[in-house]
Amino acid sequence: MPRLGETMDSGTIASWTVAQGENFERGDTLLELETDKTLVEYPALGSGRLVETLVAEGDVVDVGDPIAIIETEKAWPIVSDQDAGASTSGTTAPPGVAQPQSSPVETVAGAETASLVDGVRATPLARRLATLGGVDMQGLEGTGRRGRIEASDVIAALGGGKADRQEFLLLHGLGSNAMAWGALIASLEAGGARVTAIDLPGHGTNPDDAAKIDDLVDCAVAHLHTHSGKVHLVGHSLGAWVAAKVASQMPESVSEVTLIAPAGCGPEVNAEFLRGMAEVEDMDHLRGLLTMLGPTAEATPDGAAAVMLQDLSRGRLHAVVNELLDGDVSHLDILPILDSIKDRLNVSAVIGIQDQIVPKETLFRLPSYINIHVVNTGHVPQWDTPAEIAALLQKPI
Amino acid sequence: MGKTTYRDALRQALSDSMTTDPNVVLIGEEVGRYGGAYGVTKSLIDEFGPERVIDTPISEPSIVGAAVGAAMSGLRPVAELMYVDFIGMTMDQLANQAAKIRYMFGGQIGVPMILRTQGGTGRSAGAQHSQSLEAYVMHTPGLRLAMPATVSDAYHLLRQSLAQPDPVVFIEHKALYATSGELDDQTPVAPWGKAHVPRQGDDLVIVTYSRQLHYAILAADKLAKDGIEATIIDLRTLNPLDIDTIRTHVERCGHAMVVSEGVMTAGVAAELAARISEECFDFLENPVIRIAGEDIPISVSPLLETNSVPTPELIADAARMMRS
Amino acid sequence: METQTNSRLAELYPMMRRIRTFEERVGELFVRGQSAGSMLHLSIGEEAAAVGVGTAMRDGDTFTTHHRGHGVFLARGADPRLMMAEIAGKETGYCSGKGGSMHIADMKLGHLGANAIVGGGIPSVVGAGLAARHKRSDSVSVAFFGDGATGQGVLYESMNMAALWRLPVLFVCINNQYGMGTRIDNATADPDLYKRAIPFGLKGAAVDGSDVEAVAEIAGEMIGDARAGKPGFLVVDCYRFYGHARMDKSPYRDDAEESEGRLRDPVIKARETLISRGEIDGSSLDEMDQNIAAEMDATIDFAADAREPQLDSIFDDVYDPSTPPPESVRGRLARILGQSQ
Repeated sequence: MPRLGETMDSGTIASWTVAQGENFERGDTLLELETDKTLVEYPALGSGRLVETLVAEGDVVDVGDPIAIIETEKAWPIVSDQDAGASTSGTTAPPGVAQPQSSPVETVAGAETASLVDGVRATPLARRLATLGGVDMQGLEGTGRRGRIEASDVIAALGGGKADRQEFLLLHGLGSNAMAWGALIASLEAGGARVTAIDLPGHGTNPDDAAKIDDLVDCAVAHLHTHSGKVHLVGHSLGAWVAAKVASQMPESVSEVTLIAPAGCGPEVNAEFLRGMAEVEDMDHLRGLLTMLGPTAEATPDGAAAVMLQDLSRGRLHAVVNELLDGDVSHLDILPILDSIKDRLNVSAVIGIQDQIVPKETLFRLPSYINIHVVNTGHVPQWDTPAEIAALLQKPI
Repeated sequence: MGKTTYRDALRQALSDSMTTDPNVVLIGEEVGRYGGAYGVTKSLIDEFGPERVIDTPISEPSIVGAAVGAAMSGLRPVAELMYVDFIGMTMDQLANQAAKIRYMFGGQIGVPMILRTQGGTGRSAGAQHSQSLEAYVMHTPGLRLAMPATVSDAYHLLRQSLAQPDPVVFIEHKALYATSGELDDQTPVAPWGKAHVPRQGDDLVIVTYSRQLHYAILAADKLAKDGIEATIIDLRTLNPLDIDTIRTHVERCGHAMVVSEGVMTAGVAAELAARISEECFDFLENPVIRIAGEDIPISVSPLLETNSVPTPELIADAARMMRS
Repeated sequence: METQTNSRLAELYPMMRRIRTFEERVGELFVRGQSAGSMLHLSIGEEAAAVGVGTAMRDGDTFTTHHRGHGVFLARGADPRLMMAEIAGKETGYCSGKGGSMHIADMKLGHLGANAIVGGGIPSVVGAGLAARHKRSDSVSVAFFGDGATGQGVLYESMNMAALWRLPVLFVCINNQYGMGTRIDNATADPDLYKRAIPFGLKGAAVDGSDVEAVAEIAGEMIGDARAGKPGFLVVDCYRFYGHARMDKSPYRDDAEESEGRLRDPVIKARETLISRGEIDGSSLDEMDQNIAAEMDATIDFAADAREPQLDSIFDDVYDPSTPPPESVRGRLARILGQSQ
């Protein structure tokens, strides 16, 4: 019995047209079948002889069950169950059999995203930061809706809830300024820290020009003298090199150092970017430079980009860039500086694996006593994932 | 470079395209002698003649079907559907023919046609002339979907659509036709398939398109006074969808809101919220919030009509609740 | 094969036999469980319509068909092996196995596509006609559809536009008296379908679909008119031997009706006419039929041996190949749940 339609699983023998023992030619009707839909003639697919009929008129036969024995020269290549062939669209389960219910999937969109796991209700972001920072969420007090733990709670926990709050001093990179730390500062302050960021010479609102890189170091050192207590020094790019030097000069004023995408780890550097920052005068060029920094930089709105261009086109960075670059390579070397402080201070580094300014390979030259965090960002992790960087900064060593 | 209206920018895009490509023809009801129900095609028939600006009888299915056949025969037809609310009548030719021909025929041929239409509230046009039905198109593989919000995109997105090898449904908004703005006809804000970010802030991301972009901007200005800074993403095209731009900003901000004028249930906002949740789950502090049209037909009464779809107040209130 | 003459009928007969034999073999494919798709619509009994109109068309003309369009496609030069492979859903078929019987197409032969939606392919010919006029080409576009489509609004919209704009278009209704199981006089009050041309200002005609010479004659005239910007509506009255889909013995017709119908078999009539006119003798025709049978048997083997589409082709051709294909569900799962951080 052939399957002659999607929904057919049995057919009724209506009448035999060829009698038992008779010969037939290709195309002759052998019998008529009734399906759930209609009456069908079954043609011979080759010539032969009907040896024996196995069912009688009126019999109901399941698809695939035999209805006759025939003798032919060539076998008829019939696929009796169309599931094995390409023909039926449709499921492999016979109709009428209930399909097993798929187990309900936990959905996230639209519902409460603070999920209850191990009795702890926390937002997805809070969980992630807790994992990153090594915070145990059991027993954490949640300040969010329905008592759930939010990212700020985790960041505060990382800060230790200490009576003396963590204090940070942020040193920006080449061509940047204090205001560019905005998103990170917000995250750190949400976690209870005190944060200061300064404009280095030749940058931002700092009226002094930078004749050499050491001018940047001197400015930061002078500022650090105005602090009582110890600060966690955080530097980005060229500012990381500055931070390392400041730490080596004033280790007693520094609690720890974090270097974000640091300069000075090796000769390879994106010289086109550095020269561009010193020389840029039109928006197209600036946009090209921003694209190299990463996705958030690339998406800088026009207003902010215009302010950047105005600042950079004053051309105050030539001296620093010329000192930094030797042809197309950097001859800054941060390793001896780090060596000199390694026994006195904890040093951490944050490396973006999509960094187009300082290739990640140079950063992997950092020695083993440095705690290295790898993040999936460009050259400015504090723009691309500020909450994550805040959590890393607050994480106790 | 100059100031112009959304409507005039659309017309200029058609005119410029028809000048450079002799195979672009317009076909639809009242597009020729009348100049278009909303005036978009005004005087194009004088410029290009009745063989290229073709007035049709009231036969929506066949207008779209003729565009399919013409596109398969070497023309670049721009069919006009006077109101997106009529799209149901054309769904066979759009969804069963235009969207599937390339696939069903094993890649032998594409259907490079545009279906221009308009939707949305703002004219007390009633339940059958005020809908936002982009979800029907987004749910049909094979159809591209563009929805200009600005004067610049009225020009550039239409010209970009006319360069696509696949069928594009191009949905304008009736309340935007008279809006004016700067048009630099040499420089689009973004390439085809990429979103535009007209405002950047750190506190939340508002993902939107079409007229709701303007409401989102008004809401963001209000929110700034309360110290809440929003990033706004104008999607420009729903297919292709620029999920990368959305992801970059949501990962940074941790809070996301989708604003769409189509009704809430099973709408575009639901698809966008699902994608954002999937892509950015570990970076979210709140569920992705959908602000969309109420699940109701739209009344002629202006008060009821206004409150059937998102408003700047609603968007701002939602943002404050998210960030409180 | 010996022909004593090169008469029109002698030229048309072989293609009619090819269509008949091909359709019989396709039926076998279905019974063997090797057709892709659960539905198969044979045009047995409609060969004169396909060949009569097909012979009046020329290279560069385009056409669309309904779901019962194998005969028309063959009449316009389709390779039966590639057709059989497509019907079997194989990769080497006309549409790479993705269209099957009802979505078969070949742009090179001018086949803009068979359609599973009743009336779905009709407006396309209006568009093709607009394109021909725009490009100043003299190609004609023909829509083939059944009597069932005369219930669809798009047909009348298209006829109206074609007449209004004087497009080079011909609407051909292959009237086999039945739309699925519904006889035509249960589907419409006036079953003289050709009269529908009149209110739209189209030339209308009806012709006996058992007589291929008559069909070729009127089709030649109407295609010529269409080429000159006078679109028309031609009804070819046929009889469908099998039920709606393969091998349905159609209990909805009585046996007398069915056997009278077989007397109108266009292939038998053509053969008998050739013999009675002394143009070809019976044994030459038998030989021709056997050669054709062998050709069509070989198409089954070709289709059976052909490869299934590869699973990774499933996302091909949703959009132009220059753009990325849609993301698969598995791909998305792997990307989202497979992320480590």
